[in-house]
Amino acid sequence: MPLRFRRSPFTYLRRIGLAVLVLVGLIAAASFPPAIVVPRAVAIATDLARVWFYFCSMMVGAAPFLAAGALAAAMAVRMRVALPLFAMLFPGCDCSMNAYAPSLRHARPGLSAVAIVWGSCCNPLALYTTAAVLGPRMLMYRMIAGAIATALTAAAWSKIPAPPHAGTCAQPHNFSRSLVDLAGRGVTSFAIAAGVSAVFLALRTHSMHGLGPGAAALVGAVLSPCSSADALLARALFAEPGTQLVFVIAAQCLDVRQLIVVYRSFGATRAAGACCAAIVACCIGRALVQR
Amino acid sequence: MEALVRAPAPVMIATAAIFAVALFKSRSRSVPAGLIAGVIAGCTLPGNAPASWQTVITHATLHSAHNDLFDALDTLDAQPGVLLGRHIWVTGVWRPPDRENLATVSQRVMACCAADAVDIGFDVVPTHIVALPAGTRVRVGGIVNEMLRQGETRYVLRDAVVNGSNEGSSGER
Repeated sequence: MPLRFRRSPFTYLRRIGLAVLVLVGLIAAASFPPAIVVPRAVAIATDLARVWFYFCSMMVGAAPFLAAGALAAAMAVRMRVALPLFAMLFPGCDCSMNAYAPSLRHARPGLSAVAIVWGSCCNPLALYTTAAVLGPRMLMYRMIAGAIATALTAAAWSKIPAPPHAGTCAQPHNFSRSLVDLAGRGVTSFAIAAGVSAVFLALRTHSMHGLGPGAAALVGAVLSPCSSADALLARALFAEPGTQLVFVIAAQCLDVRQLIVVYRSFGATRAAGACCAAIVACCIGRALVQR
Repeated sequence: MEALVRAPAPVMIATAAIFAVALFKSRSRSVPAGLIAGVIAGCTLPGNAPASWQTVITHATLHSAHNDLFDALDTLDAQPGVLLGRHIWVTGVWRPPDRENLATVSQRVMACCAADAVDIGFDVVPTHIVALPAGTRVRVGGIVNEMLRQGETRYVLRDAVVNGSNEGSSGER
């Protein structure tokens, strides 16, 4: 008589998968002399400790913004305030956006695109720090590139049909449930992106001077800094203004944190649309700076 | 919270309170497990911040902060000729040399959290070997020179005298 599993066998394998991997790794390590294994094990442990430190740093740093975003979005949902307008003016960048993006699902697609892209790239705090660190000229170029990314994303989202799960998610009925729902989703999205950034930070430790605009966009996308920090990092890491602008725009519109939020809230097609719009904005922005 | 983020204590306490209320309101059975996991995770964090993920930046990045080190770098960015070849004193944190890098005196600029922290300062070539440990607050006086390294212009304090600013005496030997 065949055995009857309450869950599929794959689920059982997955549960013990990590333990099996660790065991295989230990057996493989034991087959090499300690003089070879120990230094590498120490180096790996150091890298893992740095990844953990950076991950926790990002989570703790984002916690006030996540909480404020969830709190404000829960209040706005309850009071029926114009959420897209709030998102555009809220000075919390994409940390808080992780919390309130799901509540924008019910807005018009173009409007939610404007709220998300403009809110992350050109929120008041980002504009203030750009003016203070990079100067008024770069502030103007940031606003132009941000407006291009926003307009293109809004146009793309208006054409792309809504994903099946959008609008069918559980509607929060009361304030506390709404707060828990939004904060929970925000923490999950942010934790994934923070993990990716932390691994990148721990492994990519050498100087980034001399990188071109393409590499700067990649660094910005993976590093995914807060909008209050991207101008500072751009000035510290890159000498050329065009590369600085590409880094700043990619860090806010093309970054893993933003794309994960858009993917989880609005679907893969709209995330791809936002990605293409950001790439076009980076190219146009750089061309304008170098003009 | 200085090691991880530059956030005022009242903000972090209010944040913790919001998350705690949200967790307890959710009536989830995993709340105690989550709290225990959080405490364990917190205990694994180091007590002080590790070195920045970047090498020390030797050009100005922030116009609004005013102290002798940032002022000197601001001047070098705007008019290098004014300071090059002149003797200056700057204050910052000491990092001894290693196989790839010269010794540095720097100050950390953190916008949001440790992940975006950058150390800004000067490379230092002291006149004598300096026995101060990394992280010591120092005052360094030296002649400003520029040097090209890996395609990047870096500013160096040559013939430098390094004083540990805590004890007020020379750290040279």
